[in-house]
Amino acid sequence: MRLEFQLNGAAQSVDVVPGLSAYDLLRQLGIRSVKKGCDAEGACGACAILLDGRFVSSCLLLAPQLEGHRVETVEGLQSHAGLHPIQQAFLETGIIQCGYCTPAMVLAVKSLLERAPKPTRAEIKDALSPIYCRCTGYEQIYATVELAAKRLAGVAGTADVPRFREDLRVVGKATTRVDGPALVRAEPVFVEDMVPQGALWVKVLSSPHAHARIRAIDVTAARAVPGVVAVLTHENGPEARYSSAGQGFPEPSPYDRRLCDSTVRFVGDRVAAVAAESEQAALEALGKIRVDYELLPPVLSIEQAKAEGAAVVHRPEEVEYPLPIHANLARNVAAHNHGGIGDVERGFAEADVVIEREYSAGRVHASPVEPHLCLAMVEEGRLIVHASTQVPWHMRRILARILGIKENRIRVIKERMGGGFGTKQDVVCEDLAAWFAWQTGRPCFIRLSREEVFVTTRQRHYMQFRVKLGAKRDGTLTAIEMSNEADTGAYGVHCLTVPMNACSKTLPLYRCPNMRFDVTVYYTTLPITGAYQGYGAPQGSFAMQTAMAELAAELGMDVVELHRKNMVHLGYRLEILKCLGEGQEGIAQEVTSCGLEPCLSRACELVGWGERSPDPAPGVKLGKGGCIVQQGSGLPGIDSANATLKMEGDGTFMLLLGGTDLGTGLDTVAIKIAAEILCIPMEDLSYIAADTDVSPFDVGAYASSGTYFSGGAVYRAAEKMRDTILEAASTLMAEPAAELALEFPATVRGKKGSMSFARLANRTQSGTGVGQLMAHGNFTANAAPIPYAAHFAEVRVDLGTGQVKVERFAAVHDAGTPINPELALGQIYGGLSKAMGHALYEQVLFDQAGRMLNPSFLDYKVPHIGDHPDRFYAELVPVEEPLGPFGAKSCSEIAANGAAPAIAVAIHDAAGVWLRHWPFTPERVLAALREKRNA
Amino acid sequence: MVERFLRPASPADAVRLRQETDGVFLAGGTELNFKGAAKARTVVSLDALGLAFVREEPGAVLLGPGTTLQEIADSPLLRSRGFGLLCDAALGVGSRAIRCQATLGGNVAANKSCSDLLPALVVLGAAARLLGPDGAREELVEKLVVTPDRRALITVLRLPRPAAGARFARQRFSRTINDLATVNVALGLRLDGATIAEPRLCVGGVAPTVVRLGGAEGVLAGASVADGAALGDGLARAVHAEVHPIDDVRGSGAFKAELAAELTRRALAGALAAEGGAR
Repeated sequence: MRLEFQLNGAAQSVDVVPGLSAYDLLRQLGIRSVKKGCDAEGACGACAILLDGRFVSSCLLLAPQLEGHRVETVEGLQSHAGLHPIQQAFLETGIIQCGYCTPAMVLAVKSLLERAPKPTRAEIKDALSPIYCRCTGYEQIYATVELAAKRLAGVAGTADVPRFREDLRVVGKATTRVDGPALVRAEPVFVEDMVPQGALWVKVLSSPHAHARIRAIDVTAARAVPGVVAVLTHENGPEARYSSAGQGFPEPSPYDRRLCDSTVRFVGDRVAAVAAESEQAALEALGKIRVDYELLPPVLSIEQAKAEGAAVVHRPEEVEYPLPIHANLARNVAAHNHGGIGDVERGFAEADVVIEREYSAGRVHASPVEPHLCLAMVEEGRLIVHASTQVPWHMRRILARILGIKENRIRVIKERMGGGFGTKQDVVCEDLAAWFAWQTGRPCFIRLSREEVFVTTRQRHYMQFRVKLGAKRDGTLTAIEMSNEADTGAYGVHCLTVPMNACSKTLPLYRCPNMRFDVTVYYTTLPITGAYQGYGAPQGSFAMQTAMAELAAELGMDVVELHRKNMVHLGYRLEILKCLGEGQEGIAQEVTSCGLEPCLSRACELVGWGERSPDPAPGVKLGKGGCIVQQGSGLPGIDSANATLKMEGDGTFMLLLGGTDLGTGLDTVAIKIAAEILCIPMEDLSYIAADTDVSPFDVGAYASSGTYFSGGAVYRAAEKMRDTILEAASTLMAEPAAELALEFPATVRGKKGSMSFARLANRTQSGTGVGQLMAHGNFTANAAPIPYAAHFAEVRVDLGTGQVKVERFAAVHDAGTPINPELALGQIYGGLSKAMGHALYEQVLFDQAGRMLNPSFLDYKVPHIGDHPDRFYAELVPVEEPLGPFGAKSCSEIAANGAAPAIAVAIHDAAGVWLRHWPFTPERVLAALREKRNA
Repeated sequence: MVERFLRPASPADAVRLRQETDGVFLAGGTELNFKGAAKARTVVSLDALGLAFVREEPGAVLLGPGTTLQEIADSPLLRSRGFGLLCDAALGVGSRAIRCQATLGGNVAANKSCSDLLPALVVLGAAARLLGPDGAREELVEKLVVTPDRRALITVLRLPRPAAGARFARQRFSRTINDLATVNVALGLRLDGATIAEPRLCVGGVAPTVVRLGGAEGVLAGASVADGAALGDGLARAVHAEVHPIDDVRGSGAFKAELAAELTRRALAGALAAEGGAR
C-alpha cells in the first residue's frame, strides 16, 4: 500500500506491506538511529521517534500508522557541519557510553525541552522514563539536560566534571570521547548497520527439553523451504570440542561443547540452525525440522546435581581440559579449588565471637541493550567477522578451532558495541555466522532475539555461600572461612574462575592472618552462566560484606569501625593472592595504593552515617547500610596487551590499539595517554582498535584490564615513540638527545632550536631519512593495582508491602587517577544501576522443567530512571597509584559489587531483618518480617 | 500477519469495515503491536476518526476514546472537574512513550486485569457509548469489562460528575516503576456526614479482569468514618477473603492477596483524608 508521511522535514511516499513495523520501514529508509533492544515490547525505547512531536516507540507502530504524520529522528537534528546543542551537551557530560540508546535519549531531551524549556528533575525523569540504558545509570542525564537547556536559551555553560592531576593536560580531565560524535549522530557504526543486501539470515532451533539425546533429526522438509541455503545439525557440523569462553589460552574452562551436539543440556540449547535468504524463510524452515528426542533426567539445581544417582550432564570422554580444574564429572562437579593461609582452626579458637551464616545470590542477566549479533563473510578466501565482542583475538582463536583453519585466515573486527558487560566475552552466536559463511561463501547475519539473549547467552552464576567469621571482642578478625557452591549451568565457561573470584575479590580486603576458601562448581541442565561485570565478586561481596555487618551487630560495633579495624592499607602484603590464581598459582603482591579510608569517610558523610532519620510514615522505615569493595586491574601473569604508534607524514599519528572498547571509553583512554606523552592535541591521533588484521594482539576487555593493560601498552608505545622522536631529532637538529624534550603542541625543543613534528616527519620519511617513526609497546605485569570503593545506601522499607526503595546511594571510589573522570563516573553509576537491579528486582525464574519463565523485559524487570534514588552520588577520591599509567587503576567492574550488601545492611537497620538471598523482593522481605514476628 | 490496513473516515464506516473483514480496531497500537502480535489479517485504524477529545456536557465530562493516556494525565479540565483519579491512574503507566501512544479506548477494549485505567473508570461510574453493527448503545464500563463486545466501537466515554461528598483514592503496586501493576486498587465512596455511602471498590491483578469486590464494599457501606483503623482492618480482611489471585512472575497469589488487602486499607485512608471530588 502507498504510504505518505513526513520524515525529518521531507515528504516521503513509499510502498509498504501493511504488516511492516514502522521500525523496519525506517531502517529500510536508511534511518540508523532507531535501534531495537527488546522484542517489540516498547520496553527499551531504543527505537524511539518523535511522532508529531510525541516520543513513541517505532517497534509498536505499524508503518501505515505513520500516514499523514510527521516523524523526526536524530538524523534530522544535525547538519553535516555541526551538531545540535543537545547532541553537543551529550558529548560533554559523560552520559554517552556504548551509544546504542543515545539517539533515543537525544530525542527524549529534545521533546522535553520543547514543552519545558527549564525542566525540573521530575520532568526529566518522566521524559527519560521509556529508555532502558544499562551503561550509565541515568544520573548524568540530569546535568546533560541542564546544559542543553542553557545552551538552547543562549546561556553559556559547561559541564561540571571533577578534574584530576592539574599537572597533566588531558589525562584526568573531561574531553569529548573519541567515538562520541559518531555515536551521537547515529552514524552506521554498529554491526547491524553493516549488513549487506543479500546476506543470509541465521536462525537457531533450540531444545524444548532440559536434557535429552537426539535419536534422530530430519531436516529434509526444512531444506526444501524456498530460500533455505544451508542447515546445520550435529550430523554435519564440526566435531571440534571447544569452550566458548573468551579467556587467555590455555583457558581454565573445559572444552565441553560442539557447535551442535547430539545431546542437549538446557531448554534453549542448540539443536540445529538454518541459513536462509530471509528471516521468514529461516523461521519457517526451523518449524519443519523433525527431532526425535530421548529424554534424560534434568538436573535443575545444585542439590539435584549433587544427589546420589543424579544424571550426569557431561561424560568424561566428551570433555577436554586445557588446564586442570579438578572436575569430577561423575558427580557433576565442573571444577573445584580450595586453599588458604594461616591456621583457620586456631583462628576460630582464639576468637571471642564466631558467626556462621549462609547467603545465596540468584541468577541474573546483564542484558545489554544491543542483542548479541554477528555478520560474517568470506573475502578472498578469508573469513571476515564483524563482531560486537570484548575478545576479538580469543574469538579468532576459537573460530579457527571450530572451523579447522589457521588464525591468519580469519579477520575479526570489533565494531562499536551496544554494551557487553561480560556477556560478550564469549562466542555465543558468532560461531554460527562464521560456520555458515564459511560453508556457503555468502555473508551471514545472526541477531538474537531478546528471548534468545536471556536464555542462550550467559547469565550470572547462582552461588550459595557459607561464611564463618571469628573476631576478638575489639573487632580484630582472627579467622575467615568462605565456602562457595556455584551452578555453572549446562557448559563450563568460566566455571572455575567466576566462583573463585567471589573469594579472590573479597578476602584480600582484610588483614586477617587465617583464611580458608573452598569453591565447588556444579553442572546442571540450566542455561549457561559466565562472565558478567564483577565476575563473581558481586555475589562474594554480598556474602562477605553482609556477614561483616552481622558480625558487627553481634559485637555491638559500628560496621564502619569493624571495617576500619581490619581493612588493608598501603604496603600490606596480600599473601592470600598466591592461592587465588586463575587455574594456576596466583601471585602475592603488596597493596601499592589504597583509598579505602577516604572512600569510607566520604561515603559516610554523603549518607549521614550515624544519624537516624525519622520514619517517613506509619509502617514505613528508613535505614542505612554500607560496605567496602574491591576489584582488580586485569590478570597479572596472564594478560597481555600491545599497541603500535606510527608517525604520519605531517607529524600526526596513527595508533594501532589491541584494546577493546565496549562503550567503556577505552579508546579515549588510549588516545589521551598517547596525546599526553607525545605533547600533541588529541585530534592529531587517529586510531584503529581491536581489528585482528591491523591492530596488535590484546587479550580483550575483561577482568577490568582495559586502562592498566591496554592503556599500559599505549603508555609504553608512546614513551618509545617519544624516545624515537628525540633520537631522530637529535641527528637532524644536531643536539644531544638528552638536551631535547617534547613540547606541546607537537614540537621538539632543544637548547639551540626547535623542530615541529611535521618537519620531523617530512625529514625522517624522505629519501635521505631514517624511515617512518614507529614504536611498539607491550604490557604484561606481575602485579596489578587494586581499586577500592565504599558503597552506602539509605533505604525505605514498607512494612506493609515489603517494598524496598533506595532513597540515597553514595559510591565513593578509589580509581587512582581517572583518565576520563566523566566516563569513570558514568561507569560507576551504570554498575550501581545494574547492581541495584540485581539486589531488588531482577531474577531469572525457571519452571519445573527448567524453562526460563521470564525471558523478556516485560517479565524480567530491569531498573529504569524512575527506580533510582534522587540522591544518587558517585565520587572519585584522588589516589596516586604507582603501577598504572599516570596513576590509574581500573574502575568499572567494581561498581557492581556493593549495592546488594549495602542495601541488605540498610534493610536490617530499617526493619531488623537480614535478607540473605538476593533479590530482596517484597515477598522475601515480608516473609522475613513474618519470621521475625513469629520468633 | 496484517495484510490489510484500513483507515476509514467515520465511525460508521469503521464498524462496517471491521464487520465485513472480521478485522480488529487499531487505536494507539501498544497492545495490538506488542511483540509484533497483531494476528488479525485486517486492521481498521481509528486514527482518522477524530476521537481524541476531552469536553464537557452538563453533568458529565466526555472523553474521546482516541485520547492518549498522556493527554488524560495532562488535562486541566479533568482535574478541575473532580477526575484527578483518572489523571493519576493514567500516570500509573510508567513509560511516557507508552502514555503518548496508548489510548483510553484501547485500554478499555484490551480489558487487561493489570489496566491502570479500568479500576478508576469503574469506581467513577464511567459509561461507554458504543457503536456496533446493531446500532448505538451505552454501557457501563463495569459491565463492558464482564461482557466485552469486540464488534462495537467505543465512540465516547462519559464520566458523570461526582456527587457532593464523593471521595476517591487509588493505590498501585508494581515491582519497578515501568512494570505493569501487580495489584491496582481504586476506591470511591460518598460521605453522608460521618457515614460512608455507595462504596465502590475495584481491584486489578487479582482475577482475569478487574473486579468489583462486593463483599468488601459491604464492610464499608453504612460504616462510620469514626471507626478509622478498625474499619481499615475489617476492610483489609474482607478483601483478603474475597480475592483469589494466581501465581505468576509478578508474585505469588498469596502475596497479591496480601497486597490487595493492604492497598485497599491505604486507599480507604487516602479517600477519607482526601478533598472532595476525585483524587
